[in-house]
Amino acid sequence: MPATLKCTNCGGDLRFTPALQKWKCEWCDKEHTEDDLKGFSKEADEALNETVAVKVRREEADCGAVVVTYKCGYCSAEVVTTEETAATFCVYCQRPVTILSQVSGEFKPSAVLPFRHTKDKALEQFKKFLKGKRFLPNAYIADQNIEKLTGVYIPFWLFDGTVHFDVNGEADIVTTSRKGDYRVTKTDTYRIVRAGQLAVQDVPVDASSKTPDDVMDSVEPYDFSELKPFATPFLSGFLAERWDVSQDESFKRAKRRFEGSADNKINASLTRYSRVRKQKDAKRVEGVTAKYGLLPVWMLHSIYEGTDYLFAMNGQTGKILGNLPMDRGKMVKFGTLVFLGSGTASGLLGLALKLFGVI
Amino acid sequence: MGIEDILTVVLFFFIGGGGITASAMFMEIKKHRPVKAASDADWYIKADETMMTTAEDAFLRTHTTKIKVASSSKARLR
Repeated sequence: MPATLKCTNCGGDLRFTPALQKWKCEWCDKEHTEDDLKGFSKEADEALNETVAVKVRREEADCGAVVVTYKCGYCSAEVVTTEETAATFCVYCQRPVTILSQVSGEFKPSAVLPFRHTKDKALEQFKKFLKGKRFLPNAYIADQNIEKLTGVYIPFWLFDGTVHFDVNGEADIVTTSRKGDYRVTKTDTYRIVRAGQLAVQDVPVDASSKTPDDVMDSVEPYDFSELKPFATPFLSGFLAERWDVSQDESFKRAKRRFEGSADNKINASLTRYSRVRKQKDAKRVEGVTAKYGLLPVWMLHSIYEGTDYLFAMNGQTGKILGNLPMDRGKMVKFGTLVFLGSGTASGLLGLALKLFGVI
Repeated sequence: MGIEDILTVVLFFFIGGGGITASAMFMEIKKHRPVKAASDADWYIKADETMMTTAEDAFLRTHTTKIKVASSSKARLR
């Protein structure tokens, strides 16, 4: 069932405004706080029970993807989504649409981190990021492509846990000196033992198979002190996905991240050694709990010459990661100009050196 | 200008131009490639519940090796 947020004053559509951290009416500009909208989900749930036609159909596309069609609650147009879409827009009336069945039951997030960066700010930072990059295709930097930058709530599992580590082995301090005609290498060997525990909280692991894990890791960190209990109004005005990678499956990545941090801590205490030979390297992860949360990311997905390019920006901190396409024509032009320019300068330098008898 | 001068100019043109172009292209291409971060959990460590309970470093042995190298005077003679 798609639902939209309505203004308590005029009934117009509401959108979450990151700069205000409030919901603003698109028609009368009235701002709504979280408390003003607390009844929204309940009302929408009631509406859900009273509505007869919600999900129109579910079908498999030629490429194998599942396409789910809903009916827009305002204009009755068909809203086509994937099976994991939790919030989107109606392409006809442009109203934000939240699909309640995708954020309820097993898909109900327990927390949400609201967007802090507005679209304007995200666009400004994106344009700044593109500056000075000569090989970008014109189609990529065109305004109509950049405007496709979209705020998406990405599903994440947030893991807590403790890693107990117990490491021992031998480590060497190698010093080299010169005595007369000899190079003297002195190796002092020590027995090293490191044991302890490392506790982590809210380690995010991407729960969407559509978004590359390394890209999502690279726009971290998030400040989870701003994490809020989930409420559907936060989705208003953004796209959202629900998880399709289970908690158990995601835990494998979380465990690697926990253990990686334990290794960092151990290695930080061994920096005085030239080399370390570990004879025992035991790690045990305990007390693991997870919660399901939605985290804000500004994304621009483009396809250039058959290759996917993804630009992502942390919607809370503004941290950027971009995989950018390159125009071969621009590369050839740049290479030729530099070659001719630098080649001519080098040739003249060579001639001058020859004439002055330097070479 | 003799043939030797022309050859020098041509040589400098290709070597200088080629080298500078290669490094300029490398620097430009690098700007378009993402720098991906390591994916450990260091940002989310709870400092108050993290501790090293054992950190022992016991000296075991020393081993010394000596390798004869050419003396500086001999090196100069060569």
